[in-house]
Amino acid sequence: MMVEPIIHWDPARLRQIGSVLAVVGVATLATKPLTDLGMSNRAALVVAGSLAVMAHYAYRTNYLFRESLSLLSAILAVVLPLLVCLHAFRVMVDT
Amino acid sequence: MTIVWPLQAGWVLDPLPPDLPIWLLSLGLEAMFIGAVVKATKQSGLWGELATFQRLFGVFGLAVGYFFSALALLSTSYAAYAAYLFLLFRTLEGAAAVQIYQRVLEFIKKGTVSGNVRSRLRYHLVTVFIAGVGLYLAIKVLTNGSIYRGFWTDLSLIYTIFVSVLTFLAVRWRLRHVTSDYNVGIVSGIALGVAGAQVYGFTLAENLLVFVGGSICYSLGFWVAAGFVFGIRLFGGSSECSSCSKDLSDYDNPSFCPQCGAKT
Repeated sequence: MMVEPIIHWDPARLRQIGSVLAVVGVATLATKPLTDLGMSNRAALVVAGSLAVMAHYAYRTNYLFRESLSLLSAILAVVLPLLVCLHAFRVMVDT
Repeated sequence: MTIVWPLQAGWVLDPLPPDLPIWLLSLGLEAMFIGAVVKATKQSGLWGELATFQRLFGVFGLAVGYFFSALALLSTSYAAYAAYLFLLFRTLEGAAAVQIYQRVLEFIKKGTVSGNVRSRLRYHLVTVFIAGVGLYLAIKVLTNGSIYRGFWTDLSLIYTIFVSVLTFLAVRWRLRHVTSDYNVGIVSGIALGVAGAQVYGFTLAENLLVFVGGSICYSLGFWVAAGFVFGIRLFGGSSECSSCSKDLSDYDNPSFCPQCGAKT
């Protein structure tokens, strides 16, 4: 069992958890139209969960899937602060 | 208040607790991602339509998933991300320094200072108070000896905690004008990240690089902002309102647009 703080976890394990969680998140949001059409919340969660299981398999077998999510997250981590600081820069210059 | 340079106790003292900078970077990243995903779903109008479980598993699942994936990559080099955030914010501080000259010019011309003086005063008083408490504790350790666990341990602890808090406040203050455009998660996340970068235990070579790079970025930010601000003053700004595009050339340098009321 993992008892170390999360910042010391193995990067491969972090990536695996991240990819599964991200797919659960995307799948839950993507199955929203199903609940709008009358599917029960529980059934929608089951669909999202099954997508997560498929993602877990894809993570283990597909290199592109494994790396693309990490790359996207890293890009977000770099771009978000940059965008906010650029906006703040512009506000400072304009006022 | 500018962020204290790494050319200080950080050169001889390691951060204490040693994992605090990494925790600040990680929590900052998490707050940023949660803030960004919540903002994206709110802007698209999806947030109000989602059920509670969809928000929990969907929005937060995505945000936490991003966080774990980013942490996997960043854990290979926290120093690089810390340096990136530090340099980014030094550039912004350079731009903020131009505002000091603007206010001095404004005071000389009009005899008044624009902006919310009361909130500015409050912020500066709070930071002076916190810095004062930290300084008092440090002097107490230097003169009376260890309070907690040992001379260097106490100094490291005081330095790490007080510099982190001051940096967090400084970043939140610097980004106050854009907080409403984003959300508190994104801005606080950046503040936590920069605070972590400020107290990060760089090696000596990394410290030198960050110090030199920080000075270059500060100058760059200052001169680029000065170029924009004083270039507009010298060559004239647009004669149109930036909000409603009303032609302002008939008016004598108005402060506010007569049509929409936007600041010119």
